[in-house]
Parts: sequence; structure tokens; C-alpha cells
Amino acid sequence: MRIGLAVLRNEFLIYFKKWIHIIVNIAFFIFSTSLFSLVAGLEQELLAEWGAGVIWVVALLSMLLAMPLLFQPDREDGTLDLMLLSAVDPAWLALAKAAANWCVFGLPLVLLSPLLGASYGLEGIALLVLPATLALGTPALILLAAVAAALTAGLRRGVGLLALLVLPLALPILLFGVRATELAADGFPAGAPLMMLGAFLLAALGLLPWAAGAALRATAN
Amino acid sequence: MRLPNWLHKFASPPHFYRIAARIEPWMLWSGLAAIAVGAFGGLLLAPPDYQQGDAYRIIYFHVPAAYLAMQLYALMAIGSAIGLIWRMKLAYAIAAAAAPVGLAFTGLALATGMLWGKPMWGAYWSWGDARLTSVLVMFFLYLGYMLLHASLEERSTADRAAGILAVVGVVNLPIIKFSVEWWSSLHQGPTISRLAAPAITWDMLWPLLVMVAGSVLFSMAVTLTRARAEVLLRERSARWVRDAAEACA
Amino acid sequence: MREFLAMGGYAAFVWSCVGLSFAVFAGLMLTARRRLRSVRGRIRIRQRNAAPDEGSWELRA
Repeated sequence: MRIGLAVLRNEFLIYFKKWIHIIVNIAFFIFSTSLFSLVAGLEQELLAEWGAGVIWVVALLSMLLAMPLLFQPDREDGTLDLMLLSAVDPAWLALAKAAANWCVFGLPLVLLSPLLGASYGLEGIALLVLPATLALGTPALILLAAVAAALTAGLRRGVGLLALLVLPLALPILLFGVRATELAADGFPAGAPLMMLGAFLLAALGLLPWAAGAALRATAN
Repeated sequence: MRLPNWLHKFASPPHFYRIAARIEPWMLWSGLAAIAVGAFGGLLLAPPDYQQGDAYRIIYFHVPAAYLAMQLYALMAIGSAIGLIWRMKLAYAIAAAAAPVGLAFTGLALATGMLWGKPMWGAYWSWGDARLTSVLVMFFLYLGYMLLHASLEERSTADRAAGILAVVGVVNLPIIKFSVEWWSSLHQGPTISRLAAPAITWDMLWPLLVMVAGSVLFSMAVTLTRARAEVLLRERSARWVRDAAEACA
Repeated sequence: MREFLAMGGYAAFVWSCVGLSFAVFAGLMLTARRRLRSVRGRIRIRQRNAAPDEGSWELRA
């Protein structure tokens, strides 16, 4: 646990040194969502209907974009192998790294989403539900992606394969996240899908760090 | 937890290789014979359905493929899990052998499902149908397993890494199915009245059962052939492999 | 016979399913066998190349 916190702190320091990645990620998120609204034409109803879906899909993609940063640099310079040789449980290692990654690359998306939602014409309670779904869904996505990132950490250009591994598994989170926002936008209670997202997150927290740790061990040199 | 001793003996690669080589032709030919009988029965002997006419005959090819797509995924995941827990090379070999066969049957299930969908609900594809969508997801899980396995150079690493993916995938599949069902129950898509549980008669049922049984036998034979190749690759430097490779040219 | 081939107007769908299925069956059978044969071949080649400098592995075993 204490080592986990130390890893967390270390990760933050590294990420803030690589602040360009953070900016790139946020810019990608904002620009891609605006691109969709430009391509879709300027019909307001259409935009409001598609808003939640577009924001969710782009959030998923922009998080995948940052995933190679999770383990690959540490694998290449050998830090990861040293960490695995130490007494740290690789599951805690994976969890700490995923948590840092989420704070840096996931949290900004959550905070920005009401703004983008508003630009898509979402109103009222939907503007609260959308960030809530992202806040519950993106940590689970990061954990899922952490498993895939651990599996592909040794590969040179593994990001395409990583995306292929994550996308099918991410489908449930995406469906519930989008649907909760749509329900809220149409004035229906969105509690049930939000609770499902919460359940996914708990299950992911319980199972996936362990799988990611096993994956780190499996692909260690 | 330990595996029982007899299983260890059975799972010794040379023993498996020999047994597999012996039972494989029987499975293959009896499977092909059953497929021939089932296809004949399904296409010629079974009466046409009063609602779907002759189009329902696609069932004799669609259902076995869909069934095998799931069974082979289960085999792949169980093999991977056994390999991960007990570090058994043979289990990995079987998992790696099941993947391409499963991928082929999943593709076949998708193709026949689409060809059935067009005359029945007027469209090749319906995103509202939970079964179609989850089979598509399964297709990509098979593909991911095979690509990951192929891109990791060392075979033991590839076995473990792809094995973890298979196990994560098998836990996820029911959740995916459930989410798509829930999704489509809220999105009122086109009303799908496919197979609204009609009481299927024996005349229609027996070719289906024969077809499924034949396909299972056939796929097991093919998987065994592939598993033998995978075992040989994993045991390359063992003495028995040299003999086996030399013996049957 | 013609009636059988027409499949009640669904000929295109039914027969393409039949064709696809048998193509997949045949493909699976052939590729599996070819794979086993090629693996065996590779091992044999490796073994012949390795045999001279490895000395007599029969004795070692």
C-alpha cells in the first residue's frame, strides 16, 4: 500500500514532466468532438441526439491514445522489470499506475464534458449526468486498457493492437454511459444505468488490477 | 490445488500426441458423415416451415456454427486458464489450436446469420439484436487473441499473454450480451419475430441435432490436428518430437 | 429437382449458406493438415541441420 502511494507520487511527477502529452490529449478530445459536430451539419436536434454518443466514443479513443505511456517507457528502460523483481505486488503496481493515468488523462475529460455537452445542445440534468457517467466509466475503461497495455507493453507499435483488444471489451461501459445520458436528456430517471456503471467499476477494481499484474508478469523479460 | 495424477499422465505431450493421432480420423470421418446426413435431411427431408418457407433451412448451418463459436471460445478460455494456473503446456497448445477454428465458425455464424436476416427481417444486419452483436464482439475477441499471440515472439510469453486475454474475455462476454440486450430493449428497433419459439417438430429437429453433433466431432478433429502441431512446436527439442517428426513424413 | 433447387424462392440465401459452410469445413480441414505437415517439416529440417554439430544426441538421451 505504501509502496503503491510512492509509485503514484512518482507517476505524477513523470506525467507532469511530460505535460505536452496531457495537452495533446485534451486538445485531441476537444477537437475531435467538434469535428463530429461540424461534419454532422448544424441541425441542433441531431446534435443533441448524438452528443452523448460522440463524447463517449471520443473520450474512449483519447484515453486509448495515452495508454502506451502506461507501461511502455518503464518496460523499455527496464524500470518495470526491477519493480517486478521487488516485493511489490504487481496488482498494486498496475492499480497505482492506472490511478495516476486516470487523474492525468481521464479526469480532464470528465471536467470538460459538460462544456462539450452544452456545445452539443444537452441541457439541464443531462449536463450533470454526462460527467457522472464519465466519472464512473472512465476509471473502469482505464483499468481495462491497463490489462491490454500490460499485454502489449513489449511491442513496438502496439497501440493499434491495444485498441483492438480494448474496444470489444469496453462495449458495455460505452452502452450504459451513453444510455444514461440519453435517458436524462429525455427527462427520464437515469439512476439504473448509473448504478450499473458503478457496479462495473467495482467489479473492474476488484478483478482487473490483478489481471493487469498477471499480464505484467507474463510479458516480463 | 493440484491436478489429479491421471490427468498429468494423459496430458504428457507424447501421450497426447499419440492418442490424438489415433482418435482424430475417427472423429473427422464420423463428423463428416453426420454432416452429410444432417445436410441431406435438413435440405431435402425436413418439411418447409409454414411461416418462413424454405428460408428456415439456413438454421441447419447457422445453429451449429453459432454453437461451435461459443464452445470453442469456452475451450480456448478453459485451456488458457488451466495453462495459467497449472503451467501446463498442453492446455496452451489446445487453446492456441482452438482459436483459428473458433474464428472460422464465428465468421460462418455471422455470415449465415446475415443471410438469414435478409429474407426474414428485411435487413442483413440489426444492431438491436443482442445475439448478432455479441457474436461480432466474440469475433473480435478471437481476432485479438490470435493477433496478440502472433505478435509476441517468444511462444511461452505469447501463450500466457493471450491466455490472460482469453480469460478476461470470457468473463466479459455475458456482460456484453446482457448490456446489448438491455440497450435494445430500450431502443425500439424493428420488431424482430425471428424464431418466436415455434414448436419445432421432430422432422425438423433431427437433422439439426445430427448436424450439430457432426460439426462438434468435425471441429474437435480439426482442433486436435492443430493441437498436435502446436504441441510439436512447444516441445521442439524433446526427443520424442524428433522421432514423431521422422516417423510420419 | 428444380423445385428443390429453387428453395421456395430463397435459393440465393439458402445455397450461399450451404456453399459457405462447406467452404469453411474444407478450408479448416486443409489448413489444419497443412499446418501439421509444415511444422513437422520444419522440425525435420532443423534436426538435420543441427545433428552434425550436436554430436550424437541418441547417446545423450
